[in-house]
This record gives sequence, C-alpha cells and structure tokens, in this order.
Amino acid sequence: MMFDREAKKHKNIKSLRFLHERCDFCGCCVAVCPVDCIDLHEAQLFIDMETCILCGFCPKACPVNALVGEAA
Amino acid sequence: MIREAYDVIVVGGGPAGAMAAKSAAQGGASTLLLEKDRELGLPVRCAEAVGRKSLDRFIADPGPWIAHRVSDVRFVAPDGSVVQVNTDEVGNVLNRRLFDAELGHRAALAGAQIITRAYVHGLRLENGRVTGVMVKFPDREMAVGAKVVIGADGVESRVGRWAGLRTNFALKDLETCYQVTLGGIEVDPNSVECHFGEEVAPGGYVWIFPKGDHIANVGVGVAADRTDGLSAKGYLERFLEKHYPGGSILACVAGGVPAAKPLKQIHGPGVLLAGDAGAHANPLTGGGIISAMAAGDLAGSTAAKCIHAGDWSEKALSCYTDRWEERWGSEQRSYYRLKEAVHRLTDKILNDAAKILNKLPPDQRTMQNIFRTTLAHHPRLLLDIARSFLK
Repeated sequence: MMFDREAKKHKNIKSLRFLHERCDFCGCCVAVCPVDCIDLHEAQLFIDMETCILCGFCPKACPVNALVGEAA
Repeated sequence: MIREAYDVIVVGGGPAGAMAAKSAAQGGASTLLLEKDRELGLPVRCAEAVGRKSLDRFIADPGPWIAHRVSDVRFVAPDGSVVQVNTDEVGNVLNRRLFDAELGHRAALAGAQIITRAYVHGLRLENGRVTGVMVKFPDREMAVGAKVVIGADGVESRVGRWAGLRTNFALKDLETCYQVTLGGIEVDPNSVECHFGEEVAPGGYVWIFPKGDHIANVGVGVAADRTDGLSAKGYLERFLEKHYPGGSILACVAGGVPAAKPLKQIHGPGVLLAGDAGAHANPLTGGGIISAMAAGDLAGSTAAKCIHAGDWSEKALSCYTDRWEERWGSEQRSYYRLKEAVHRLTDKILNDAAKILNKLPPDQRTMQNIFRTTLAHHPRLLLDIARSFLK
C-alpha cells in the first residue's frame, strides 16, 4: 500500500470506536485516511475494519470526537 | 430526464462544482452536475468570508447572498493584546446557502443539468480510464457515462483516489474545524477578528466573522496533528465560555480545511479535481471560495475545450494542472511556507510582536508590516523564511 510508510511513523492505536451520535459527517476522517477505508453517505459513516490499519489519524482529525482511538 | 452519457459530469455542487458545470456548459459540453445532499449550499461548512475584489471577478452584482461587509482586521495575541490592521480591502461575509444556490442557478442557465440527492459512490473505469460514474439516487442506482469527470467533492474527495491520484491529506495539512453562528452577542460589525495562540488554536486560529449587528460566525481551526486530546469542538467551547458566555448558538457545524501545498497532479485519465478536492485553499488563511471558483472555472473550460478538440486523453487534460500551476502554484507554495513559519511562532513571540506593532501608527499597520515587524525581531525565523522562498 502506497501510504503505509507515512501511517506507520505514527503511534498505532489498539482499536477504533465510532460514536454515531456525535458525528457531523464533515469528512475530516475521510480526508486523512491513508488507506481510504471510510465511506460517508446520508448521515452514516462506514469503516471497513478489514482495510483499516489503526494508524490513529482519524481520531486526531475528528473535530467532534466521534472517532475515538484506544492507545496502543 | 437523465441521459445515458454526458460530455462532462461534475461531482459536487459547491462553488467549484457549480463553476465547473457552468463553464463546461458554456464551452458547449453536455454537462451533468451531481450533488449528494438535497440542496446546493447545505449544510454550510464554511466561515463564509471572502475578499470583495476577488469575488467581483466572478459575481460583481450585489445580491442577497452577501450578508454583510467588513473593512478591518483585528489580530488578538495570546495575552489578549489587540492589533488593529487597516486594510484597503473590503471583505464580504456571505450567506453560503444563497450563494451556492445562485451559482447553481447560473450553471443551470448556462445549460448544465443539475440533480440533487445523487450520491456518486464509484467511477466507471475502462482500461484504467475514467468513463463515467456510479450514482445512487433515492430510488435507483445506475452508471452514467462521461468523457471527463470533474471531482469537486470537497475535502473528503474520493473521486481523485478512485482515479489513482493521491488526494488524502497529511495530518499537519488538515485544519480540523468547528464553528457556531452566535446570536445576541456584542461584536464590532466592521471588523473580522482572529485570535492566535497555543491555548486557543494550536496550528490555526479562532475567527470571528460578523454577519451583521450582534451576530457572527465564530469558529476555530486547529492543525490535526496538534489537537492533543482536545477536539476542535472542545477548543471552541473553551473559547466561547471565556469570551461569549451569553451567546446563543443559531447553528453549529464541523469541517475540515486543506492547508496543503499544491498537489502534483490535479488531472488523471478522464478526471479533473477542483476546489478542496484539489487542495485549492489558501494554506495560511484557510480561505478557499475564490480558488475553488477559479479552479472550477478552469476545469470546466479545459474539459469542454479538450472534448471539442476531440482529444480528452490524460495528456490533453494535463494542461489543466499546468495552467493551475502557472497561475496559482507559486502563490500557494509561498502561503504554505508562511503557514509553516507562522505555526512555529511561540506565544511569547506573538505577544512581543503585538506590543511592537501597536507602537506603529495605525496607518502603518499593514499586513506587510506585520510580517516584517514580527520577523525582524526574530532574525532566525526571517532567515528560515528567506531560505524557504529560495528553495
């Protein structure tokens, strides 16, 4: 995967939680996802956990703490 | 009714997409614009301020989409010192809902077909070339053919990625933002105000853009790599508690703004990117309306020209990247370097600079002098910036 190198420079997370009620569907998570595993459509967010590499970018980018990473 | 194929399909109905659709249609291309939401202009993920002179290049006539005009800029240092800057420029604070609707209408008048609640979930690819989009309407799903697809699908753009272009942002190049429209507050209706500092907005700033008397967009942008456990919403709540405890929240919105260098390529095989999707925003200020409109305009006219000439190969479309680069490339790179320099300024440097600047007579407090003064007292930074300009 062409984005792996950059993603691995950062501390990985152990798990990723999505809190739907907090989400504003703004797309920050999609914008920073290095493996394009997040899809956003009609007030729903889909994360393909098989593709997700737990890089921890999206919890940092999320403006409303709707994505929460558990520290590795 | 929707046709099986168009010359140009534009994905996304913001300022970039509407301008792209308009200029493609004006260039003689059959054009379809697909917007995923139910209405152009909603939700408003924008601080809505734009320079008047720049806007006049695209829409000179006044209209209800201009909510308010401002003439001054105030910078607030971490210690609370205020530097009032007088500019010759006048700024518009827009009503983006009406503004986007107007741009969409102008695209329609030019002959573009527009459909809302049309979610593009993939591209049709043939031999590595984009030949259309996969789109979901509320009642059906279908493929629609296109010679050129223009991705104006925002900061979360996927059109570029599906076509094999790298459009995701490094954390440090995404400003994670949260904004409220506050009513019932005391606000100087003539000034936009920007607050800086590690505590209010690391790697970004808080903005207060008045939309009239007693009403303003108040928001914060923080560099996504410096959020440090607190979300943009958390930063804004802290700011509001301190400065506007009695304000009423009339609207709230989260969003992301690209603060990046120009992408190497904003064209691909059968695809062009415009607006936030193509990182077309000023990395220092986060302003992106004008560059999005300029990019959309250029993308639409380029697509129409290539199709008219019978060659819309990746090579032919590359003139879009070239022309963008010629006009905006070096400007965006300079702003990017300035952004990096400004983000390195410590609270102490900012406070000192404010004191020095306030000793200057008001008529000398121009943007240029601000940078000059801030930097002159920190020669190392000046050297860094000078070097970066020569790189």
